[in-house]
Formats: sequence, C-alpha cells, structure tokens
Amino acid sequence: MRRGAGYGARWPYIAALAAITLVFLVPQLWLLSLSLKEKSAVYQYPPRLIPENPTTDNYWFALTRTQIPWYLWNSFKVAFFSTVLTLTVSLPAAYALSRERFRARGPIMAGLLAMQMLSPVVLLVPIYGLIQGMGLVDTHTGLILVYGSLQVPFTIWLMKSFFDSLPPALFDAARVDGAGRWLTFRAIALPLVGPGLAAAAILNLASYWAEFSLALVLLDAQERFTIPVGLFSLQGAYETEWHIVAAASIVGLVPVIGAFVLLQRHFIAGLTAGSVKG
Amino acid sequence: MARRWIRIALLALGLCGTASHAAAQPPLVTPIRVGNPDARMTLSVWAQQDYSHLASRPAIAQVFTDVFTDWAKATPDVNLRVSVMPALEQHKAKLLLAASAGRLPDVASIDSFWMPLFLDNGAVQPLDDYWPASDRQDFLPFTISTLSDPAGHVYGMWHETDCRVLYYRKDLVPQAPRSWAELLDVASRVSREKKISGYLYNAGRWEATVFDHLAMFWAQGGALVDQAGRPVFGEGEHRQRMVNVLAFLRDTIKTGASPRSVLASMDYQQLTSAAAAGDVAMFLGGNWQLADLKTNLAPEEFAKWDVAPIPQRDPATSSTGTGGWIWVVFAKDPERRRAAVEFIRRVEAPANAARISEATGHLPVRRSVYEQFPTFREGWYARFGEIVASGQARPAAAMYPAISTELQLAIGYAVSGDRTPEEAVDTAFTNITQQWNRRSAAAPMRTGFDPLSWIPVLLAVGLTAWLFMPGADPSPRAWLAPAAALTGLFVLYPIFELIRLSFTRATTGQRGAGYTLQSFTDLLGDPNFGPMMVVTCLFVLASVVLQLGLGFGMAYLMDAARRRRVPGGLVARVAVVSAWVVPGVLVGVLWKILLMENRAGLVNYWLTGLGVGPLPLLSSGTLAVISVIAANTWRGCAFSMVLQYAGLQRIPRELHEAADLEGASMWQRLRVVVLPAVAPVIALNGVLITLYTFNTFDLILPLTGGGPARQTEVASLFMYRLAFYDLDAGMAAAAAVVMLLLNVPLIWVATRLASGRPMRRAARVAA
Repeated sequence: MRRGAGYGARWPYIAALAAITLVFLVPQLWLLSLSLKEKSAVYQYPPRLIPENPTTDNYWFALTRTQIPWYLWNSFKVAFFSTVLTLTVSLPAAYALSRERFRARGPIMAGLLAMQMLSPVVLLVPIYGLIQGMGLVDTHTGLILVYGSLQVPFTIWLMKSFFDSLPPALFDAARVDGAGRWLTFRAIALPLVGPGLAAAAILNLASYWAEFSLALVLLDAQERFTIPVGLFSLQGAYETEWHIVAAASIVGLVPVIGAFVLLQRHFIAGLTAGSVKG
Repeated sequence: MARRWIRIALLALGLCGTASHAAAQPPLVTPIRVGNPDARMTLSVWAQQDYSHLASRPAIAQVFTDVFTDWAKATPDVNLRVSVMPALEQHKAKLLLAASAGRLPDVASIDSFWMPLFLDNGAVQPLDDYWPASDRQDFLPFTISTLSDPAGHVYGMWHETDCRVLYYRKDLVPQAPRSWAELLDVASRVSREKKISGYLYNAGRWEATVFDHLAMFWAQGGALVDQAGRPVFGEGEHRQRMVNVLAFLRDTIKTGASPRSVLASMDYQQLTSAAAAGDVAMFLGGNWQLADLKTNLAPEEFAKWDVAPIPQRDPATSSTGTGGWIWVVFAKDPERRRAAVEFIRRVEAPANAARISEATGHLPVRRSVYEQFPTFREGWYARFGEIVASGQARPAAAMYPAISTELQLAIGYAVSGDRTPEEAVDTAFTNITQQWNRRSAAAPMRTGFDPLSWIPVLLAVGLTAWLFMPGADPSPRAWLAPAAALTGLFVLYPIFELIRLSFTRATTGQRGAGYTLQSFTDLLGDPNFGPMMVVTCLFVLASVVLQLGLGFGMAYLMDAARRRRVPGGLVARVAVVSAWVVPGVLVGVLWKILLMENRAGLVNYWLTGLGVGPLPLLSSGTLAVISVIAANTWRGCAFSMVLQYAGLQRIPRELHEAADLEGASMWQRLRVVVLPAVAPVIALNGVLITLYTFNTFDLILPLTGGGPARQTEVASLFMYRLAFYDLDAGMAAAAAVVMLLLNVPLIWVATRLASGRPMRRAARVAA
C-alpha cells in the first residue's frame, strides 16, 4: 500500500465509521439514559440524553425485585443446550452430505433448503400440539428440543459448505493411511472447520437468545421465562414503567454484547474461513 | 453519597450471585415462591404484573410484599408459585391456550371482561362455597352481579375498580366542556393558539380505545349486545349512536382538536407523558393516572389540572366505563379451591384493600373501605366517586372481546379518515355478525378415533424413513439419523399437521374438529387478506433491499478502512452488531419510546429542531410502515454486513493493489474487483433475510401492534393474532398454508440457485 495516499485518505473513513457507530448506538444510548433516570425525568421536555440526576435505583430494582437474573440464566441455559443439540446432530449429517455420494443426497439438500424457508411462527400451533402431546409444555426440555431442531436445516447447510471447502487430497491421504470414516471426521475434518463451527455456534446462540414467539407460547411459569419473554412481561397491562424496563433491558443486553465483543474475531474469521484454501 | 456507593457495591454483589445469600432464614416472599418453602400444598398463581409483589412501581411492590408476608405467616401449610404474565393481550392469550390444553393455574388475575370466555368453557370455579355471603355484601353490588351465574354462584372477586374521566388544565380550559361540541370548540382553539394538543385519547389498536369511548355510546342509550348476548350495535338506533361516536372522533382530527398521534396511543402512559411534557390541554384518561400525574409534574404544574365527567353528545347525560381486574380460581379440587379462596380473601381484606388502592390509585370496591378510611371519601376520591356513580361495566358477553377487536379497527379507520364512520361501523358489524353466526353454528366435532389425524404422522415418518430405504449406500445412514429424527419430528410433522389443520375449524389447543374447506373460503373472503399481503410484501421487499444495500455499503466501508489500517472498525462493527443481538421485542419497545409522538419523543424532538416535525411517525399509515421498516432494518443490517464483510475479506489483496496501481475509480473497483466476488454472497444473504423478514412480528407487536387500524399487520402477525388471540387455529393454519404456497416460487428459486454454480460459490465464499 502506498503510505502517503493511504494516510491522507484516512479521516473520511474515520468520520464515516463514527457516523455509523453513532446511528446504530443512539437507540441503545437512549435506553441507557432512560435506565439512569428517575421516573419524573422519563417524559421530561426537552428530552435529555444525559440525565440530570442519574440514579442506579432502577438497576437496583431490576436486580433485586424482578427476576432478570433468572431470565438471564434461563436464556443462557436454553441457548447453550439448544446450540449443543443442533451442532451434535448437524455436524455428522453435514459431513456425510459433503463427503458421500448417495441417491437421496440431492433431494435432502433441496428439502433442507425448503425447510429453512419456513417460519416458526407458521408452525407455532402444530408445535404447541406436539409438545403438549409429549407432556413437555412449560419445560426447558421442550423448548430446547424445538429450538435445536428448527435450526438443524440451516446449520447442516452452513456446515456442509465448510466441509466442502476442505481439500479432497486430505481425505485421500487419510484413506491411504487406513483411517476410518469416524476417525477422519474427528481427527482431520473437525479441527479444520473449527472456525466455521465457531461461526455456526455463534449464529445459533444469537438466534436462540433472541427468540420470542416459541418461548412465549411454550413457557407458562415465570421461573422458566427467557430474557425476551421476561422483558416483555415487565410491561404493565395499562401502563409501563419505562425506566425500569430500560434498566432491565440493559442488564439483559450487556452479556450478549460482551460476548460478541469477545467472540467477534472468531465469528468473522469463521465466516471467512477457507479463504486461503479456496 | 456514601449510601450511593454502598448501593453500587451491593449491585455488583447482586450481579455476582443473587442466589447465594439465601442461606440462613429463607425469606417468605421471593419473586417466584411466596410462603413457607416446606409447605404441604403449592398453589400456582398467574398474577398481573402491576397487581403483585413484582410490580414495577416500588410502592405497589412494597404493599404486596407486606400483604403476602402477612398471608404467608398466617398460612404456613400453603405456599404460592407466582408467575407474572406478559401484558394484557398476551395474558389473555396464554390463559385461553392453557384453558384449552387443560393447564390452567389454581388462581389467576384476569380483566373483568374476559370472564365470559372462562365461564363458557366451565374452567372457572365458583367461590361462594368458601366466601360467606356476609363478606360478599361488603362489595359494591355490580362487582357481584356481573360475576354471578343465574344460579347465584359467584365466580370472581373484584380487585378494585376505576373510571374514565376528562382531565383538563384549568389555565387553558377555564370551564370543563360538557358536550362534544364544546370540547371540539375549546380544544381546537387551544391547539391553534398554544400550538399544543387540545385533546388526547386512546385510538391505537387495544382494548382501552373501545372501552374509553363506550361511555359516549352508552350515554346515548346504546347497547352492544342484547339479552342473549347477540351483537346489536350495528342495528337500528344503536348503529346511529355508534356512528355518532365515531363521527365525533373523526371530528377531533378534522377540527384540529386532536393530533393524528392518538392513533398510536396504546398505553395510558402516553397520555400522562404528554401532560408531563406540557403538551396537552385535555385528555380522556383513567382515574388512576392522577397518582402518576402527581409524581411526574412539579406541584405548581400539577395544581393546574382538574378532572370532569366525560363530555357527551347531550350534555344532560353522563356515563363512564368502570373496569377492573378480578381474582378467579381454576382449581377444581375442593381443598385447593378452599386454600385459593382463602388466599384471595386475605389479600382483599378491607385493611389490605385500602393499602393497595392507595398505592395503585384505583378505586376500592368494598363499602367498609370507604367507611373506615376517610381518604377515600375526600378530595380527588370524592370527585371520582361522583363520576363513578354513572359508571357502567362492559357487558358480560362471550362476544365482547371479539366486538372490541372489531371496534378498535373501526375507531382506527374513522379517526384516520380511511373510512366514513358509517362504513367503519357497518364493516365491524358485518364481521362480528359473521363470527356470531359461525359460533352459533359450531363446526361438527369429531369424537373418538380420527383416522385422518394420523396422516401427518405417517407422512413425516414415511418421508424420513425413505432416506434409509435399502438399496442406497448404507454408510451415511447412521450419520444422518439423528438429524433426520429431530427434523422429522419437529419440522416435517408440524408442516403436515398444519396442512391438516387448515382443512378444519379447530380451536388452538383442542383436537378433534371436523373437516371442511371453510377456513380457506373465510380467509380468502376476508377483505383484510389482500391489503395484509400487500403490506407484507412491501415490508419484506423494502427491508431486504435496505438491509442488503446498507449492509454492503457498511461492509465495503469497513473493509476499505481495514485495508487502510484506519482505527475504529471494531467499534463500528460492535455497534452495528449490538443492534442485531437485541431481542426483537425489545427493538419494538425501544423504537416505540424513540418515536413517541409527543414532545418528549427523541426523534420528533430532533425533527422539530430541523423544522420538519413533529411527524405522526406511528399513527399515519404510511409513516408507520416506514417506521417499522426502519426499525427492522436497523436491527437486521448487521447480519448482512457481517456476511458481506466476510465475503469482502476473501478478495485477494493483490487485486485491490492492482486496482490501486491502475488508479481505478471507486465505481470501476466495485464493478471489476468487488461485485463479482461478493455477488454470490449477496444472493445467499438475500434469500436468508427474506425468510427472516417474513417471520418478523416480535418487533412489530410492541411497536405498532399492527396499527394504525391494520396498516402494519404483516402476515406473521396476522397468523399469530388468529391463532393466539382468536384461538382460530384452523384459519391461522389456512393462512399459513397460503403463505407456504406463495413461498414455493421463492423456495424453488433458492433450490435452483443452490444446485447451480452461483450458490455453490456463494456457500464457499460465505464459508
């Protein structure tokens, strides 16, 4: 890169990045600001981004008088086990679909893609009936099974493309060395798609964390609510205490944003994986 | 100051381990368990958030903590598992679903007008066995008569009641208007002269919109249903009375008395907030808002406010809607029922009822409370007492909730000017009459064995098993089996079951409905179906194009910044992605706060600063659609950006360097170097977000609720409402099947892409 030209052209980029950051952060900053306000300042005119008398009372209330900590734990539990379930069943399937040539392969791939196009909202009623029939309404097990299954098609599809990008020579070498299918999968293929696996895991975690409609319908007891349902239930029947909702929301958001900051390198790396190997 | 630091330290501790401090003496009132942890019997309670120890208002939470502690001390052998239900409509939906699935809690708080829904199906249990007549006589008569059946059994205990009143500012409106004409006159004058809203009221898509205005219908002598519960509001004189109300509401906009923003009013807090921001001269609100007004306003500002009866067409008449929530018991077992009734009786004991009403600002329903506690006879309470004397409750008819849903729309249409008041009333009445006829001629129910219900099971099993048919290479079977089993059970079976349901008129949660094509004919004959599809397509198309375009733009910028080693890329990326990880419900709530249509709303405040606003961002049909698209784009951009950023990073550095050396323009670089490499990613990305956007309703539900009227009701919200508000599983399934059929071309294109070269490249690039 030519140093001079690059250097001179830097500040417009910084300005553009700053503008993007600001546009995307304004709603969250406003949420943060609300969470630090007293009730009487919520509807103050003119609206102030920086509260006059910042208070941590709302956080105190959210942590001690609501179940936000429970909801966080529930969401974590459900998202984690659903992701584990999805990956456990999807990985071997994706590997087989990538490596093996068999008659049903084409239709399976098409079917998986078609299933991906389905909305869980569309399926809410039959899924409720099914879970009710299994006696799993209002259990985390039921929710985890449903979540874990719904993302299987997408995850197989994604993971298959990672396996596809591995060089065939590698597998020939493994065969020559006499490694069985399982050993090749475990010792050669899996470690190589590690970054892709991380990306798939993060995508799944994020979508389970934020899922609302299934959790709302399948869970009854508050002690099992996940974060989206829990936050939604903080709204009153006729009136809502926005400053409390805001504080609770921030508490609910911080772990996810924190996790993303920690994991984003792996996520991007995962999605770009295979670029060197082509 | 020191106190604050202690608090912060405690907060940090609380974050680390809220559960760890429960060591020595187990507290009697915890968020979920109330009472002795070792109790013999546990009652499940579905509470209303703002009527429990978990209320967001500290004063209410404190009162209930005390009341529950008293109960727990007196009743060591029973404890409660409390579950706070999500707001209003979701609370009702969850209860109905639980009722049909036989999973109701022992005790619940419900809105009084839902009672017929639970009486009809025999779910709610009488209380009078354990509730002596002497105590019942202490309650205001309407609270008992409304909740009784002809045999004299009483099925609910009223918490508190309320009434609707006209709040007005004495400095702007010296004399409270008594008639509609006076109201329009003074409100339009104030809004002209002071540049604030003259008169505000609820006209969003929720229950209060109807209930608040029923007083104006009742005062003219109107009735919603006849003795038999048959809807009559669109017939004869009643029709004219309803038309009058809608015409008045239309005139509030026409004369400039009220802003269009009333169409987005879906929370009484929006009225209080306008008052707190000094943005309104009069509003139609509930008596409990007084307490809020007092906290939100400085004393000298609060002193300007007063209340008056709701203005009527004929100033000589008066009426107001009295509502309120009630306790009901679903427990059938006598012992549990007794424990449940004893619990609610203790909570509603006169001394407790008085403390609760003081905290909530509602009106007590016990005579002894008014007698023993002078507070409720003085000052503001005396004013409310006079107004509530002309109060009327909503009819205890099974059709009321459906009538309300239709009238919410009718009011929305009339206020927005999309339909004349006559058209709006007639449409609502036609729809409701159809529902009534359908309900009276209930679809045949099948009992016993239904062979057709096994078809979905067989199809799912068959299709899954086909993978494992002999003849194929046996090796991949074991590798595919777990995935096949899960998707077969939780994806394939529901799809086939959905198709079966669409040929029935099944109720959500119930089995055994007969087969018919009625769901499809009703759906396609529904005048809302066409517009709903148009809105859906518009929403999906605009969201997808914007997300792809902005996502690409930002990805390109960040990639370019990365190549130039400009700092700040990570921060920007995290900012964008932080929008994506926000749960959709919260995005809706957040944008609702941002787009609030009074002066306290941030976006409108800025728009006003720019000389553009304030704009009806959520209450004008067009702007509401734009707002919903904007919120969805804000959330969804991150996904496109991340995918495409990954795609851009795959472009070999040498290509960019070659372009640098050639002195290629931005456009040339895009066309030659960048687009060919990322086009497949964009295609994949497009397919994925089209799907996501089709499913989006969690964001729209809190943001607009589908309103104004139905103008932001997309297909997924339409189906959700059908299935879980109306419990019309058959019609919801029919809608879903129609959506699936419409999606087939999209699925076909996607499959073709996937089997062809571009998609394979896309997958590789994305990988």
